[in-house]
This record gives sequence, C-alpha cells and structure tokens, in this order.
Amino acid sequence: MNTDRQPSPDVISAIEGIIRTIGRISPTDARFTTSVELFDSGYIESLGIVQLTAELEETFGVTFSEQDLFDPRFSTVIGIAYVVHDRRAALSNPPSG
Amino acid sequence: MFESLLRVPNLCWQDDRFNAIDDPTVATAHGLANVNGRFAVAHQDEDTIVLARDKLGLNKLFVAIDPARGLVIANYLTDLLRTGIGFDAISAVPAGATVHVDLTHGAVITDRFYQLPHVLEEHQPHASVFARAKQELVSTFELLAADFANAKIVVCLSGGLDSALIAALAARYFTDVTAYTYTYTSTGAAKSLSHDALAAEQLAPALGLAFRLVSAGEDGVLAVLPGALRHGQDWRDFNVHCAIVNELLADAIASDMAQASDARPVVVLTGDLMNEIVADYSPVAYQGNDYYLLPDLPPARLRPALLNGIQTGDREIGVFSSRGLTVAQPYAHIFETLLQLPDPIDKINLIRALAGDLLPPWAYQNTKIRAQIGDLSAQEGILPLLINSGRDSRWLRSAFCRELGIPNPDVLRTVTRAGTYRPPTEHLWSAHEH
Repeated sequence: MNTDRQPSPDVISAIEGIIRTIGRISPTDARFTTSVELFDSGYIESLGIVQLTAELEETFGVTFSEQDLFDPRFSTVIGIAYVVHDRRAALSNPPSG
Repeated sequence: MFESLLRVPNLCWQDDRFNAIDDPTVATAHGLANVNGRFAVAHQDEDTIVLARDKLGLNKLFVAIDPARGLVIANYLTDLLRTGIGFDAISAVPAGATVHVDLTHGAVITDRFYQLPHVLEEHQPHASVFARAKQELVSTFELLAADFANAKIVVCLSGGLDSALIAALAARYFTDVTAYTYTYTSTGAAKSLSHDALAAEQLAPALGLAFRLVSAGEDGVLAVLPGALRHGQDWRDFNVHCAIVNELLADAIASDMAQASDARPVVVLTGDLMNEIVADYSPVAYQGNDYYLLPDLPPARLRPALLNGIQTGDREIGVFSSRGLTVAQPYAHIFETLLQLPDPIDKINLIRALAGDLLPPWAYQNTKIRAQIGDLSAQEGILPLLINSGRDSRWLRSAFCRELGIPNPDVLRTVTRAGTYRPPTEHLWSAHEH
C-alpha cells in the first residue's frame, strides 16, 4: 500500500528526464527547474504533451484522464510528479464498492 | 436555466434505428456504447442537464455557464463566443462521455460509455479483422442507403485509396453519385491537374460516377481561409489545410445544387479517419522544413492518440454542416474493429480486403499525395502557398484567435491540451467570473 504523501525524488528525477528529452532541454539551461511552467514557457509544445503523457503512462504504469491533463499541477515537473503519485496511489488503493 | 445552440444534426444508428439518440432516454436505456456514428445531444431532467457525445467526438459539444442564461451548449465555438462568453469559460464534453450537470447544486458528474484505449494491446489476426470490418462497412452502407434513398450523394474523392473505397461502395449502394475532387491551380500557369486529381479523374468514370473537378488557386484558397478556421474550429496547420479543401468542395456542392434547383438533401461521403485509424500519415518536407509533424510514438500509441485528437477539430463535419450538407464518415463505423489490427498495417492489403472486387486493379498502384499538396514534389498547393505567404503554424494560431474573437492566444493552452478540450467540471461556475 502506498501511503507516502509526496512523490519520491526518483519519480521527480525520472519525470524531469522525460521532459528534458521530449523538450530537448539543454543540461545547461539555467531557466529550467522542476517548478518552471512547462507549457507557457514553451518547453513543451502541443505535440510534446501527447508524447509526454504517453511516456509517463508507459514509465509509471498509470493512465491519465482529461481531468488530470487540466489539473493545475500538471504544468511543472514537481506538479506532474504529484499527479503521477496520486494516480499510482489510486492504483494501490482502488476505491471500494 | 439552459439554452441549446446545437445546429449540427446527428447521424448515427443504434442497431438499425436511425438517430435513435434523438430520444436520449430510450437510447441510453439501450446503451450508448451501441450507438455508431456521430451525435451531440442534451436533454433536461428536472434541474439536471444530461449531455452526451459520440465515441470519437465527431460532433462537437461545447459547454459554458453564462450568468444570465445559465448552461449554454453549442456545436460551434463561434455560437458561444459571439454571445459574449469568453473562450476561457468554455469546456467540451469528452468523446464517449455523458455529463450530468446539476444546475441547482452546481455539481458535474462525468461517466464514460466509451474510452479509446491509450495503447493498443489486444490484437486479432488480420484475416478475422478484415472480415468483420468488411461486414460492418457493408452494413453501414446498407443503413445509409435505407435512410437516404432519395438523397443526392457526393463523394469527396481525393485520389487515394481510402476515398476510392468509399466511392466504390457509394457506386454500389446509390444510383446518383458524383465524385468531387479538388485541385490547386497556379495563377497564370497552364491548367493541369494535380497528381491526385488525375487519379480521381481516372477512377470516377471507371466506377460509373459523375466527376466534378473543383479548382482554386491563391485567391480562392485565401478567400475561404477565414471560414476554414471558423467552421473547422482548429488552428493546427494540417487540419486548417484540410478544412480549406473541404470549404472549397462544400461551396462547389452547394453552388451546384442551387444552380440545378435541386432541393434534395445532400449526403457527403468521405474517406476521412482511416489515416488516423492506421496512422499512415507522414510529415511533409518543404523548403527544408518538416510540416504536419506527428508525436514521436510507437504505432500502438500513435493510432489511438491520433483518433483522440479528432475530438478537438472539425475539418469535415463543421465545414460541410455549415452549408447544410450532411456528412457521413463510414470509417467511423468500423474504427473499433480496425483498432484490433496488429502493426504494421499494409494499407493496400487492408483496402483490397475491404473492397473485394469493387476497385480496379490499377487503383492500387497510385501513390497517394494529399489534396493540400497535390503533387509529388509539393512545389505548389495549399501548403506552399500558405508557407510562402507567411501563414505558418504561428500565424494560423493567431488568425484563429482573430477570427473567433479570442483576445489572447495563450488561453488556447489552458483550454485545450493533448488533443482534448478541458472537460466540464465545477469550474464551469467560476470560469466566467475571471
């Protein structure tokens, strides 16, 4: 059972790696942080969002709903990590009934 | 309070009952997953509005709360925007979903009656899928023939195999069919048909169809561009370019019917959606740049991702419906079966299996180009015209906003994402306050 309240550093690091690859973000880009807004800043374009969600689903074994994609947290590395964390927790603790 | 601005008629069947969805209560009782085709419906049940949209989101169903009018729904964004509703207040019912909006308590509940798989994992052998898809396609045409026996039938014949098969089936099930084909004409150049138009011109008479060539160059293309943005409800370059072709075809069809004083209903048949189902699109290179880029995904994820994106644009139904023309996309009726095909998919084998002996052997030898490009070298056509005149992706995005009266293009990112519009939630009530 997943009882952690926040995503692990490994998850955050993996998501950052995926985003850096999809967005072709240079390792020396000082503007890029785990809390930078990914879409308004142009780090991830529209095609990249489709690829990003697919890679996250593949990597973490989760499925995102439309609501997840428009979750205000789904706009930064750290925020996406929380959404992934929630999805994984839901898989570990499915609603009863 | 509730106001419906829906004006795109539904075109669907539940078993063999045409537009059974027009009585949503009965249709729901029979199971919306059994409804094939396209629909967007709403009905009021005391203080709850129930909204439902077809599996692929072919018919659009936009939703907003207006402080004075309550819940307002529409097929066209412009119908909401022109009444003063802000773009950032708009949501869309997801494809394959019903949404219950409780007006008294401000609650929104979404249920899915169909969900596209995110990754295709369950495959069936090619032969069994081909056989079922062929039967379903035949059934679709039998239903169309039964419910539109007196209609004027038009086929949008691009010159490729997808529309060739639709044309062949139309020839078999209807008696009065005309193939419409678009070709780009250069200003001042000797009139010559594009590669695809030549193929269509050859195929139509071989199938026993009348052939109508629709040609337009720079002036014609630019004249319909605003309408393509407005009716096509999309700013992505590929979809805008498709919508331009369809605007030109729709104008020609409507004009021909008016000139002939022909008052029959028109059914426009297209080969759209097959490219998404099998993901056989590829980017186009022009002047050193690649256009019509796709997400870098394996086919098992790309195929559903492309289909999922259909719910955001309206390059066919929105365009033809704006002229009062009924559009039928027969491949929408067999997509679930075709998604069971394992990759790689050989398009020629697929069409050959679906067509049987309906297409002449030489029809399989044509190299399909897109109507937006038209020739093998992509040196002239809608794509080169727009790129050379500065109307690139960024320009189209701004033009879309100008055309629809959206003051800030950045808001597109907050309302649409990954091929979908923001779904309705309780935010409906707060969005208009911003």
